[in-house]
Amino acid sequence: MSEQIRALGLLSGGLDSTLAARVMQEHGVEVLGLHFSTGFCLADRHRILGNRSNPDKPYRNEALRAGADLSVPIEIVDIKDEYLPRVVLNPKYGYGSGMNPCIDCRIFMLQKTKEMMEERGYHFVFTGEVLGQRPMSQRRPPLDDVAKESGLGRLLLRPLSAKLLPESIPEERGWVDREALFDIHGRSRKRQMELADELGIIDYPQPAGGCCFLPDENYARKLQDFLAHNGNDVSPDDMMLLKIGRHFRLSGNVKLVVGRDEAENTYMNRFVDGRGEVWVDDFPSPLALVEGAPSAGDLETACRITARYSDGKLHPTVPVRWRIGEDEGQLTVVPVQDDIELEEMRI
Amino acid sequence: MLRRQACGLLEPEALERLQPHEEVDACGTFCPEPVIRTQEAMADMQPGQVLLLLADDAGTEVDIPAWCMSTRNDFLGILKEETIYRIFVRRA
Repeated sequence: MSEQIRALGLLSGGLDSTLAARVMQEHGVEVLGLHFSTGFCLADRHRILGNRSNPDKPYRNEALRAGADLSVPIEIVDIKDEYLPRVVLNPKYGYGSGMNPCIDCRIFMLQKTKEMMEERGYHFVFTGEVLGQRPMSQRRPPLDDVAKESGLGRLLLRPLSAKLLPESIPEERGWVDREALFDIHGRSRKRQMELADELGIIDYPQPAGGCCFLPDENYARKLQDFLAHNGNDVSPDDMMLLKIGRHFRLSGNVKLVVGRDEAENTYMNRFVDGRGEVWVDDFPSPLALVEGAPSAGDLETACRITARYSDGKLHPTVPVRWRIGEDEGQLTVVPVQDDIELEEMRI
Repeated sequence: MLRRQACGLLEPEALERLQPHEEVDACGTFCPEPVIRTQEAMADMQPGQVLLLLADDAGTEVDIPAWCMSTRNDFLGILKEETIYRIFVRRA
């Protein structure tokens, strides 16, 4: 009796990784899907704030959804503590458009996957990477670098583009049939959607959607600002707070985060400990959180900005409440009216 | 394509009477933390044992059944009390 071939696959739940897993099943490979939690997931923000267009329909984890649909067990691997210091802060291959270290990220995840492969006796690893699809990490040289630096080498299979890449060990040993793999390349998703149709995969998220905050220039700017003023001591809460609200740098070590709507205000209540608060009682108002030790001038600015985003913004003056540590008080301020003044402080 | 399991295996009255072997409180956390905690707890449990997960992330209502389906564990059901989900899962 031939041995059951088993493979680990990176599974985000996007169309490509879902297809790769399904293709491996078609080849008789037993699959365990790995989904890495980095702390920079784009879906986190949606989950936190809820589905505003349909509150009765919560956002789902796409990897778990794909696992259920394919009957592929999913294991979520929590790498949040290591990811920032080991991958984001000093990537060997640099950043993309934001602070996205895509090549280093892929190498790190596959190094972890290789460890699991060896510990648990899996035969090989596969991904849903498609040659030429993503500009930074899916051109031929970085694909080769990723395979080499992860330590997997030819034990790494990319089934969707396998026919355009050198033969892997799974193909060489007949664990999978190279002729039944694919030569998909480029940025179009047309072939993947056709393949999904053929394989009976009808439920998948919008193709071409990213899944990480780090390429986003706005998020990257906020993260860079945080690191510049706080060093590398970033907690998961800090990373989460960077995903919501409007952020303003008031002075060297003082920052203000202003909620944009009720959902953000509600969520921001979780971050009150260790931070100051500013709010307006007399009008509908955002919750604003103060980080650092504000001077009297910083506090006044924080109050003026908060008033600016309240429904009292057109009043000549607005009373604004504040709490910094054990101290509390109220300032009556002129709301900021000058957009240029605001933008100069905006991160 | 497999259809997702929409309902748990037990009726609410039966869930109320269950005595879970383990309880995990994931309130205050969001995906994927409730799933990670479920995963870790279940790894140390014996077949047939029941885990009670407490969560207030609305997404757990769909994520935990999906996790159960993919890992072939038994999703027994959910009781919701205001914002808290009490989710019962049995190690297969």
